[in-house]
Amino acid sequence: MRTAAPVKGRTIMAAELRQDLLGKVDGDRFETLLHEIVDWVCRGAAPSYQPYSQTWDLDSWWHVLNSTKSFLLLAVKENLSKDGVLEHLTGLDSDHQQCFLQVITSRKEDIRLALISATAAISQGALEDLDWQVKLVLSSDKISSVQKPVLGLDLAVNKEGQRESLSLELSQEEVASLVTQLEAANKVVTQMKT
Amino acid sequence: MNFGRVKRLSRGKVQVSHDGSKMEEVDNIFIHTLREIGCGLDDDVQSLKHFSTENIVEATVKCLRVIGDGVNISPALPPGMSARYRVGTQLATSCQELGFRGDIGYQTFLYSNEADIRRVLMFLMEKMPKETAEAASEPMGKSAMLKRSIAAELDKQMKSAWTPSYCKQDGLCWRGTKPRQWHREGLSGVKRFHSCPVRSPEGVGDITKKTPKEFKRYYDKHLQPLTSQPPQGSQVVPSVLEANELSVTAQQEWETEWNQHGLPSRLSQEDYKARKRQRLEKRISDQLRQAIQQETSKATAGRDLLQMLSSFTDRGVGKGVTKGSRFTHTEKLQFAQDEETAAQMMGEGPRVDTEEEMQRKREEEVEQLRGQLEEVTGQLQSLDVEMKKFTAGIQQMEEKVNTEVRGRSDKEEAYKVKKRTLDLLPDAENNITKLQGVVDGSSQRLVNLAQQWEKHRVPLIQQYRELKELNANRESQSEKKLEEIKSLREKMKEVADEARGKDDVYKQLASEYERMTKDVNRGAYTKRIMEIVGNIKKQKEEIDKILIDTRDVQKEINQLTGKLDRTFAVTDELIFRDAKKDEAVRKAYKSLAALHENCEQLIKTVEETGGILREIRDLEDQIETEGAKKTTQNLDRIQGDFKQMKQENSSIMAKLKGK
Repeated sequence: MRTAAPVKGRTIMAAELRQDLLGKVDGDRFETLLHEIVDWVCRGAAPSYQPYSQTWDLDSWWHVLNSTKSFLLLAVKENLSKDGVLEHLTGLDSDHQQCFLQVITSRKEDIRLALISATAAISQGALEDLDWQVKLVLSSDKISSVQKPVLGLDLAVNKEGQRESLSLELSQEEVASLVTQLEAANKVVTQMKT
Repeated sequence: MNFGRVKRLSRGKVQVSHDGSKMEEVDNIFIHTLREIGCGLDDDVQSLKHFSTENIVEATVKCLRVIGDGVNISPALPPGMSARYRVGTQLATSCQELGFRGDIGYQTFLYSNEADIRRVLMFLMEKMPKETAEAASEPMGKSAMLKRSIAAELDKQMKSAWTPSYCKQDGLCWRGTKPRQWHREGLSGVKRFHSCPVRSPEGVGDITKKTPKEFKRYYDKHLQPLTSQPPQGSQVVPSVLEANELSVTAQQEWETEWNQHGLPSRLSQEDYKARKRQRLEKRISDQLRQAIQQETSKATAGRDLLQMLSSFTDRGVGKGVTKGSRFTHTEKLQFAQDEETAAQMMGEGPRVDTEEEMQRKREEEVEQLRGQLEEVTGQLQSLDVEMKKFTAGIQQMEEKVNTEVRGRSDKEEAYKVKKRTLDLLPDAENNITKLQGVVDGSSQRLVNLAQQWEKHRVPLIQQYRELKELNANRESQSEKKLEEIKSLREKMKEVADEARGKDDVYKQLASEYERMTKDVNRGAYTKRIMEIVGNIKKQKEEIDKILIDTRDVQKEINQLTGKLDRTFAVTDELIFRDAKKDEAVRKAYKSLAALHENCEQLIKTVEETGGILREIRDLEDQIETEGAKKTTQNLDRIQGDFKQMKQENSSIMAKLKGK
C-alpha cells in the first residue's frame, strides 16, 4: 500500500530535527528507526511506538517521526549530495549525521520509487493493485449448458488516501473492448515517453 | 537320428499352440475387451474355458454390434430349442458374411469347444473398429481437458460428505484414503490481492564487484527477510509476484524500445537514456507552460463571457435561472444574500409595503445595479484597452532601448580607434614610418605563416580523407552488424515462442498421460508379445539347426552314393576284365551285380518307410485335432436337439390341431 499521506507532509526544514530529542537514542538504534521510517514511506506501515515508549512521550515521538521523514524525503527529492545533507544536519552530532548518510545512500532508490508512485497517483483515483479470476459459467436456471467464460476483475483504487475496491464482471466481448482501450492508452503513453 | 529331430520339432509346435498359460493371457485380453464393450461377465470368469453358452452368445452379439452391421439378435439366449437354433444360425451367417473362413454353424455357439470359440472371437476382435484407440492417441483440446477436470472436481465434491466450515481452515481439507491429498474447496480461503514494494539484496551474487559499504551494512543489519517485509503475512505472495512482474515488464519494455529506437540511434545505452531524459523533461516543462498559458487565457475568456452575459440579461429580464460562469454565479449569490437580508429586515419591521410596491422597488434596484454593472464593465474594458496599449508601448520602448545600447557600443568602438589616431597625430611623420614598418613586418609574417600553414595543411588533408574513408567503411560495417543483431533478436524471440509452445504441449501430454488409466492389460499385451517374439526366435534357431543338419545328411548321402557308384564302376571294370580269363571271377562279378541291385532296393525301402512314417504322424495329428472337436459328442447333441425340436414341433402341431 502506497498511501500518498507520507509524501504529503511537505518539507519541514531540517532545523526542526532536534538534537535534544534525537540524541536520546544512540546511533545503532537511531539507524534502525530510520530504516523503519523508510519502510513506512514505502509500505505504509508506521513504526511501532512500543520499543521507544520509554524514550519519548507520544508528542515527541510524532515530532521525531514526521520531522525525520520529511527530511529523508527532502534529501532524496532534492538529490542532495553528502555535503548537502550534512549542511542541513549541522544541529546534530556526528553519530546521527552518519546514520542519516548511511540510510539515505542505501535507501535512496526505495524512497525515490515511493515518491514517483505518489506523484503518479496524483489524480483522484489511482490504481494500486488488480486481481482477476476467470470463471466458467456452466449452466443457468434456464439453459442447461452455457459454457461461457466471465472475467472477474478486482481493482484496488486509492481515492485520496482511502483504499477502495471495485469489482467488475466482464463477458468475453467486454474484456476484448477493455483490452483494446487499454492498449490504445498504452500507445499514447509510449508515444509520450519516446 | 534324422527323423527323431523332425519329430521333436513338430512336438514343439504342438506344445506352443496348446500352451495353457499363454492362452490364458490371450483370454484375459478377450475378457477385458468384452467387459469394455459392455458384456456382463462375472468376476470369476478367468478364461474362455469358463464361458457358458449364454456368455458366448452375448459376447458374439456385442462384438457384432460394435462392428456395426445392424445385428438384431438379442444377446440373451431364449429358452426354446428352435429359437436357440435360430439364434445360432443367425450368428454363424453374420460371421460368415463378415468373412470368417472356417467351419462354423449353430453348434459352434451352442455346443462350444474352446478352440473354435477362440478362433471366432479372435476374428471378431480383429474386425472391431480401432477408432477409440486412435481418438485417444490424438492430443485433446484444452477445453476438453478443462471440462473434464471441472467434471472431476464436481464429482469429487458431490461424493464427499459435508463438513462444517470450521473443520476446513481456508477451505482446505484432506481427501482420499490411500494417497492422502489435501484439497482446496471453494473460494472461502482466498485473500485479496494486495501488494507492497519489497526489497532484496542486489549485486551480491557477483563477488568480483564490490558492493558499497552502506549497502552492505544495510543488507547485513537492517534488511528484513522477505516474508516479514510486507505489513501482513498474506501480502507476501502478491508482493513477490508484483515485484517479479515489474522487473519483467520493465525489462521487456526497455528491450523493445532499445530495439526500435535505441539501436538505430547508435548511442550507448547511457547516452540514449540521458538524451531521452532531457527530451522528456523538456516536454513536461513545455506542457506545464502551455497549461499555465491556457489558464490565463481562460481567465480573460471568462471576462469576455461576463460581458456577453450582461448583454444577454439586458434582453431577457427576469427570465429566471441562466447558466453562467463562476463570476455570474457568485454575483447571483451575493444578490440572493442581499435580498435575504433585506427580506429579514422587512420581516422584522412592520410589513406596510404591498407586493406590487416591493416588486417595483426590486426592479428599480435591479435596474440600478445593472447600470452600475455596465458602468464597471465599461471601465474595465477601457482599462483593458489601455493596458494593452501600455504593454505595446513597453515592448516598443524595450526595443528602442536595445537599439540604443547597441548603437552606444558601436560608437564606443569608433571613439577608441579615433582617439588612438588622434594620439598619434602630433609626431605624424615618425609615426607613419613606424606604422609602415609594423605593417610590413606583419605582412611578411602573414606570408610566412601562410607558407607554414600550407606545409601543415597538405598532410592533414590527406589524413582527413583517409579517416573519412575509414569511417565510411566502419559505418557500413556497423550497419550490417546492426541488421544482424536485429535478425538475431527476432530469431531469439521466435525460438523462445516455439519453446514455450512446445512446453505447453508437453505439459498437456504429460498431464494426459498421468490421467490415463495405467492398464494392467497393456503390460500383459507387451509381455505376451515379447514372449511370442522370443519363442519365434527360438523356433527359428531350431529350424535353422535342423535345416543345416538335413543338408549335412543330404550331402553325406550324395557323397556316399557318388563313392558307391565310383567304387562299383571301378570294381565292375576290374572284375569284368578278369572275368574273361577266370571262371571264379565271373561268378564274383555276377554276385557283385546282384549285391548292387539288392542294396539299391534296400535303400528304396528305407526311404519309403520314412515317407510312411511321416504320413502316419500327419494322420495322428489330424486325429488329435478331430478328437478335440468332439464331433461324436456334438453329433449326439445335434441328434438330441433334432429330437427335441421334433417333439416341440409335434407339441405345437398338437396344439394347433387342438385349436
